Amino acid sequence: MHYKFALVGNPNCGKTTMFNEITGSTQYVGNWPGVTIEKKEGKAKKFKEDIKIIDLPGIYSLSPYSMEEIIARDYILDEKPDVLINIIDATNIERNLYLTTQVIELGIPVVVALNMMDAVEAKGDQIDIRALEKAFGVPIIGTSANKGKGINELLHKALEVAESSALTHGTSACKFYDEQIEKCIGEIENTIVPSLTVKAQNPRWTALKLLEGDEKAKEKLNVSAKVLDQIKVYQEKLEKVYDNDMETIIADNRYRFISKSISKAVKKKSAGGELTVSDKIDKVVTHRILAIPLFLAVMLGIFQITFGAIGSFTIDWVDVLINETIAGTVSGWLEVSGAAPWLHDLVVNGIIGGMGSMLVFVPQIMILFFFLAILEDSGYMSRAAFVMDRLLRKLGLSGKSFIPMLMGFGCSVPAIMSARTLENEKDRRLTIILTLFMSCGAKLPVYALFVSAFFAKDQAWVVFSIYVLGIIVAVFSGVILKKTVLKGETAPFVMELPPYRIPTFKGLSIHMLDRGKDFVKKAGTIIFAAAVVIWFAQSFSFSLQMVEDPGNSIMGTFGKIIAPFFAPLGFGDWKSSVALLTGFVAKEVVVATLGILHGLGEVGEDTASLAATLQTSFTPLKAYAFMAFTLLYMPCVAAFGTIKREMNSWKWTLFTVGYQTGVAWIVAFIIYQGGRLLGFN
Amino acid sequence: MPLTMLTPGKEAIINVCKAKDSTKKFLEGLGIIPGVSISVISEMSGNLIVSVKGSRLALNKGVAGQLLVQMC
Ligand SMILES: Nc1nc2c(ncn2[C@@H]2O[C@H](COP(=O)(O)OP(=O)(O)O)[C@@H](O)[C@H]2O)c(=O)[nH]1
Repeated sequence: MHYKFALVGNPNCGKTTMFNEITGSTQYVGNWPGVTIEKKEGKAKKFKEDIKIIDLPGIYSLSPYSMEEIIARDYILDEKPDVLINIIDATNIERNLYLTTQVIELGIPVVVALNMMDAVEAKGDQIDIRALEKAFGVPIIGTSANKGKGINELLHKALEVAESSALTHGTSACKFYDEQIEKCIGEIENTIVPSLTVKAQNPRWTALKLLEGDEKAKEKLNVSAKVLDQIKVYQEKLEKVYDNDMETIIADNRYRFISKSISKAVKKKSAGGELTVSDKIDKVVTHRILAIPLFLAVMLGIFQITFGAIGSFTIDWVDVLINETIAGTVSGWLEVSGAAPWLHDLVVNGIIGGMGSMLVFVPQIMILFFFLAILEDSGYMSRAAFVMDRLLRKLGLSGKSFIPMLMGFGCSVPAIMSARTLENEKDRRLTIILTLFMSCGAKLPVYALFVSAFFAKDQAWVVFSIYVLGIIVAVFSGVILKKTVLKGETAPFVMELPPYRIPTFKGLSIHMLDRGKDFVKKAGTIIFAAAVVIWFAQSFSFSLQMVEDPGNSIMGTFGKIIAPFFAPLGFGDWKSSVALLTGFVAKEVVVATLGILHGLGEVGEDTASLAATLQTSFTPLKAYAFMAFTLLYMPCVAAFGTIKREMNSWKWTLFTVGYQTGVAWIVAFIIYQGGRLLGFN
Repeated sequence: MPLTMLTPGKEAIINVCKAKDSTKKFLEGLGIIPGVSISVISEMSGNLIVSVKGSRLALNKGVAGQLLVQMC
């Protein structure tokens, strides 16, 4: 038999951990809402039946107001999984059960996983699972996902439910509301729902949604004005009785039902009210005066380790491995086997050199993501967003924009994706545009090359100034865009602060290895292809003759055409123009292209000799303008694709790319021309 | 009075939520609805960390000001 089980639950309930335990796959484990918004699927291992597990986004309710909620609800209603596994954080049971009431109402068989039971027991609290089962009318299994406990039992239960409901069809929905409301729901169900043009699959749920005034449901059901008037009578009646608006009445009723059930089933050891350990940590971490210095110290520490001595050590190490050991060995083989010179050139300089320029960063990027994973899994990330909210609000952004921007220093692709946590579309667009100005890890080799050639004495400071330049441009852009094309109110900042947890080694390594794998995959596909194409375009002319002077090659000819565009910025030679163009493939390629075009890339030749060659065509001022342009201009193709997907609009994608390139040109122009006026060279 | 005026450590009951619909719905999912007790854990230049139904929520000054509470 084939079955489909979907996982639903609040953010931070342990859903990702559970998903990984069940499917045994190695996925990205996140701690802030939104990470699981991608549709993740897996198969239940250890089961002979074919069970597909779908991980739905973490949500607090099924009212369709955020992207995640709509995705989850549409999936459940349209795809009809056989069983919904609702995961609940047992340490926060009351709030988590709110979603459960809504999930049960959908009319699809539900099994509840009462997760984090280990934490409940550690606190000395008791939960009477049988009593809860009775109150909610669904099977409930206690689990501890991070210890792998209860998961088999949970799946067996779900399987049992799936098998039996295939026979009985549907479950009798539990009634959560008081008499008056139930009476209205019943009447709507019996009189109005049958008259709808679109046949309702779940009459009770449809009746409830109509009463609640759910916009999405009304849209889907194609409700006529007449029906709306009939519903209005019920709504007005109830609103008068309860002296509140309809949505609040329903929500209140659900919470009342939950409180009542909980009061009987849950015995807390402590009365609550006193400050928890997390609260005490928060008193320091979000302290009025200490918060910002603490935050800066954390960031500085991460940057020191990632981009400082340890990070550069890994770069040198991989550099030697690829460009000397591997390139040398392969070159030896090719010579022995008598390969044609062009083939030797393609493999050693084109492919190994080109891919190597990207692969050297894999360890560094993994280190950065290791730290980001610690920030997320420990719970500090959401505090940092809270602390930064006040500052970012001045730029028209919310604290939630902070996470994408921070990730932007690693790689724009996951950074852009993490902007999904912003509810408001304009906030999301603005955040994506500004995130791109955060200098991504792939641009670092470009800076590294130029500073070693032109700013040998103040390398760290010059690179730092480039990072700051990106932030300054982002600040100005934020203010300008918010006042023009992206006008509108910034969404309020409301975020759950999960309790601090010590990150598990398993969770962190999954994060880190996943990232590393992504990059290696990218190197193996896009960069590989690019390396071959670039090599070809600079080795052959338009008449497909192999050329001695790259200036006559396809790339050289093309570069000479676009070079005048860059002339006012100080680097109007065709080699720089071509290098920047190839940066669209991936930013590291800029260095690789410069290497290839300046006739390097031979075994044993390293960055030092390329730097020396560059000194003949650049000056320090030109070099700085070039770095600034590299920092700001359009993103690489992977980021471009992600922008398109996330903004879901060609217009905005092209605007973003155009805006970036325009800003890059202007800033580089100001640096070069302004610098010359001031007498720099 | 608005939630922003509640002294940290004190508990109050939420009376009215004046936020716009989408925010209000989101807050409902997080347990912030009229009749529920809320307390302020800490304050940072107007932005608050509050405790509602045992969970901790961060609210910026703007939303906090839209929640009217009553001392109990
Ligand atoms: N004590 C305890 N912690 C858990 C359990 N399940 C997950 N966690 C931790 O809770 C945090 C959030 O889990 P995650 O799977 O990322 O939650 P998600 O946001 O729902 O996907 C992680 O730090 C997990 O290690 C559990 O059963 N007991």
